[in-house]
Amino acid sequence: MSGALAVRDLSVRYETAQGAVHALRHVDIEASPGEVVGIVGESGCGKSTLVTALANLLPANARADGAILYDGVDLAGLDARRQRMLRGDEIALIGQDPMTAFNPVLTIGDQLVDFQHHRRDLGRAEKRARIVAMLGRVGISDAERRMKSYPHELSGGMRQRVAIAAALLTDPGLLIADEPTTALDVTMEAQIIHLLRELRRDYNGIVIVVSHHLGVIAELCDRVYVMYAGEVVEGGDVDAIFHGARHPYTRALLACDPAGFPDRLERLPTIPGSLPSLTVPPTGCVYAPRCERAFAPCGLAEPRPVPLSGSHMARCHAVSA
Amino acid sequence: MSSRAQIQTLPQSRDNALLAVEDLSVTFSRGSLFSRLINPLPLPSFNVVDGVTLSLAEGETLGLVGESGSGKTTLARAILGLMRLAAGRIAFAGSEVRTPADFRAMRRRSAMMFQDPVGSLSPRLRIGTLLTEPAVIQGVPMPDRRAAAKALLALVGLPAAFVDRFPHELSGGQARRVGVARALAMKPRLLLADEPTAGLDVSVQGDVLNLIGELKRELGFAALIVTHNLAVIRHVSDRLAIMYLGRLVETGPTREVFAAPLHPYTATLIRSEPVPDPRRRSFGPAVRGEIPSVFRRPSGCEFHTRCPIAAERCRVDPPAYRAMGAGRMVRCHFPLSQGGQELGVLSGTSRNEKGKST
Amino acid sequence: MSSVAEASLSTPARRRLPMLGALLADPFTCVAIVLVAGFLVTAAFAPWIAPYSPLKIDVLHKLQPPSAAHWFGTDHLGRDLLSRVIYGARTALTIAIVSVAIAGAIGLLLGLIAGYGPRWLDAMLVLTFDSLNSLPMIMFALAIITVLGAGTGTLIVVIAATSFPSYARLIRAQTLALKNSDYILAERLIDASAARIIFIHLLPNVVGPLIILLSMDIPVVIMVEAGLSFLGLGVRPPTPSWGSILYDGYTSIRSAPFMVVFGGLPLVLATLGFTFLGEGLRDYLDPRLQLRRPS
Repeated sequence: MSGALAVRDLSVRYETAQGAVHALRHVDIEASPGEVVGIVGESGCGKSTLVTALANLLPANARADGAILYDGVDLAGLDARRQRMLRGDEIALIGQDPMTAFNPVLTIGDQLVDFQHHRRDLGRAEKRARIVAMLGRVGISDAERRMKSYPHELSGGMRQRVAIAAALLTDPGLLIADEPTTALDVTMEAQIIHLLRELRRDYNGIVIVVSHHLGVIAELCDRVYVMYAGEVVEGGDVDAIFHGARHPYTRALLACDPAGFPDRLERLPTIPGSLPSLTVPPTGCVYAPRCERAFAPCGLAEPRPVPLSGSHMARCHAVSA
Repeated sequence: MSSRAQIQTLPQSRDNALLAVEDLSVTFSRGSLFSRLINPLPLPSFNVVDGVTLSLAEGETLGLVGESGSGKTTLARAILGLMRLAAGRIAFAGSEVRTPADFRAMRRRSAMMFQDPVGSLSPRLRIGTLLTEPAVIQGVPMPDRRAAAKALLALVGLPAAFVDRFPHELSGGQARRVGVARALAMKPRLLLADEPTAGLDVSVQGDVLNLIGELKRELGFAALIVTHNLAVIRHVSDRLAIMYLGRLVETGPTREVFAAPLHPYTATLIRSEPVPDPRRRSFGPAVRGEIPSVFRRPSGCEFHTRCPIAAERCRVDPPAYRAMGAGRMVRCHFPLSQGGQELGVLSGTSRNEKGKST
Repeated sequence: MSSVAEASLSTPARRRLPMLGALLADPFTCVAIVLVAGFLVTAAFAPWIAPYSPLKIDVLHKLQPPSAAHWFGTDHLGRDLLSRVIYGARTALTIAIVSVAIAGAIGLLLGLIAGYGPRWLDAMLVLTFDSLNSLPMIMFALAIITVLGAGTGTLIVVIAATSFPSYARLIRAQTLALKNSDYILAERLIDASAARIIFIHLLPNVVGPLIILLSMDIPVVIMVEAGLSFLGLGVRPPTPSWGSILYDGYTSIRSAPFMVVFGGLPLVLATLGFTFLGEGLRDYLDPRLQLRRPS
């Protein structure tokens, strides 16, 4: 299938003075064009490593095994020049704080023109016309005036809109939104969620939304992967994850979100225990030390992904199809 | 500045309140000292907090909710005397707080938790020293400081070995617990917590809130929790106060505010919160446009620029802050009636309740 | 102020050793530590190390080239050059360390007060720093010397008075940046006194960059001392000083070029040592680099 993304058995470890940190282990992810795929997990689950690996931006001390196939081509096998081209052309990233994504001394318009540097077929006027159209698409009405402003003159929500416009200007086949609403207020968050959902109508690439916020994932995604301590513990259709979760961690995580309970609770649910060390990952299941359903095999063998209905999968010994 | 004559006339109903804030304003003025010296005209000043009146009963938890720029943090800091008041009165435990000495006395019986758990701990001191510092400053005799620090750590469920750690060696959740221990070390009657769950994972934020709740039941202090997180505050507060551009727009019992918000802003806030359920997705943003800056406060009702039900009157006529039913106040010309049809305009306001029945 | 002392008295320091280890990991810093330690030992034990008295005049053996008896040769009065260089280290380091320490202490205190104190006091202090900074050092030195007379004490006063303003400005800027941080607000909330906030909570967090700057300024001061002594404005003649050795060597550079070499060499080595040490300290203490180091 053209433009599809497949991550196969991806493991990433960082070599540090204290030993190797296993940030990702045996991650499998699929995404087809037109799909919004959510990656959800708490801090330390490996979300950001996965994003950097997908965007081909892993630091020098990272060692990656496995394959990231985009459009059938393994990204790791490409030479540096083609990787760079791919990054500018096919893969776009929207970060958490768009302030840092822009150069503070250049106007928005100038920077958006620069973002299209790989489009040698277009003249400056054409590029500006594309920008005006794109800014209109992301809900910025007075585009001409906004192009003359500097990043600090825009509010957080406005900057995030510009960042989305910048990402879409390159016509990427893969759009990665890394915590796109975390730095925003609730009312702006709702607007950005709405905008991302609207854009899906005429954008045919893959969107990957990475967030710790279950609400954002539920609002935006078609398919969800739940990550814990560097592993994908459960994946599947958004409805299957939120209404038919099978992995104990997914269930516990959903149960913790106070937004899930309309009535006041005297005690909020929590997950006791803490993340296992990523330097010396536990043998067996990573979640076993905190799992209330753990039994004998959990401490011994790493669970294999158990296929459930449709694309639903859970990596747990206690789950059977 | 408030006139002396009014001091005696603090409302009777607030006499039993632990904290009463009346008409409090905090002003920022633009321009440096130098430009103030050479500029003969008075510089424009802006009320970051404008005429806030609220009270907090003994043992009560009040949630102060607002988006960034609403002035909620400034209000909390002004209450404890960290900001100069431009106008207004504060009464703590029945007596007025006016002089720096009054504020000092009040601070001795209250505590504050800051947004950044690690950043609010002095970086070069060990946890043990930090925990016993309030007592040392207040001259409380303490035969064994390490033991006292360990007792405080035990109170918040941290291992005693943490006394020798430095703040940067702790995780966010652990530093948060140290913050709780330090705040409660002197058994305060009032706790001000600024975004107590900011930056914490969902599985940990419950831990911290449960801890505060337990200690509150045990020690019986009142709490003012400043937050933008509606999902969290509905589970921990008794009453809510909603702020917009430095003014309170609505106050009332938490459950009632969530069930039937009176101010359209409250309704849009509740509706904007993403619900972790793909079957109950929102259909469009509850509110368009940006939060205006306090430096360019809209005329009339400050929310009219974004309000879905704004009328001509809202543009010119600032609404009064008035009582609506038992214990509820609202600043709106056209408050949404309790469970009435106007809610239809802001469809999905009580989505959570609807969702339950489907 | 007893509470101030109390707070700092807790538990033993665990971070000292890894710090030395980290410093020694860098070869330049390692060389620097050896050089600086060498000079310090030489200066401290000069009477035991020096083969002759630095003041013993022996005109019969003047301007002798290096030999087994006089490793560095002798000067125009027949004094042993090695002994003079060794005692010169004592003079140079004493003046440099004492004046830099005094300037650092004044700068630290005034910088903290300017940064944390009220605005009017800050304005006054900054004006003072700037006026002192604008004085040209040599002119200022000449003025002070005419009042106090040349000598070691005068040199220390001149150097301390002209260098503390830049330290104070550095500390003030650091303090201003920290003044409104959450932890300082938290301390104010628990009624910590201004002295407590300044000395316990601000000082340890602003002093790092100052130490680096001081260490890198020591060679500058050694050069200034040598320069002023060379001009006859510094240490008075019989006292050995690297500057005066250079001056004497300069006058007889044709007949005895070794004097300039042996007078200049320690100056170069001390400069390198303290500069590398300062850079090593900066690499260790710089917060940006600290991020990469495991905590």
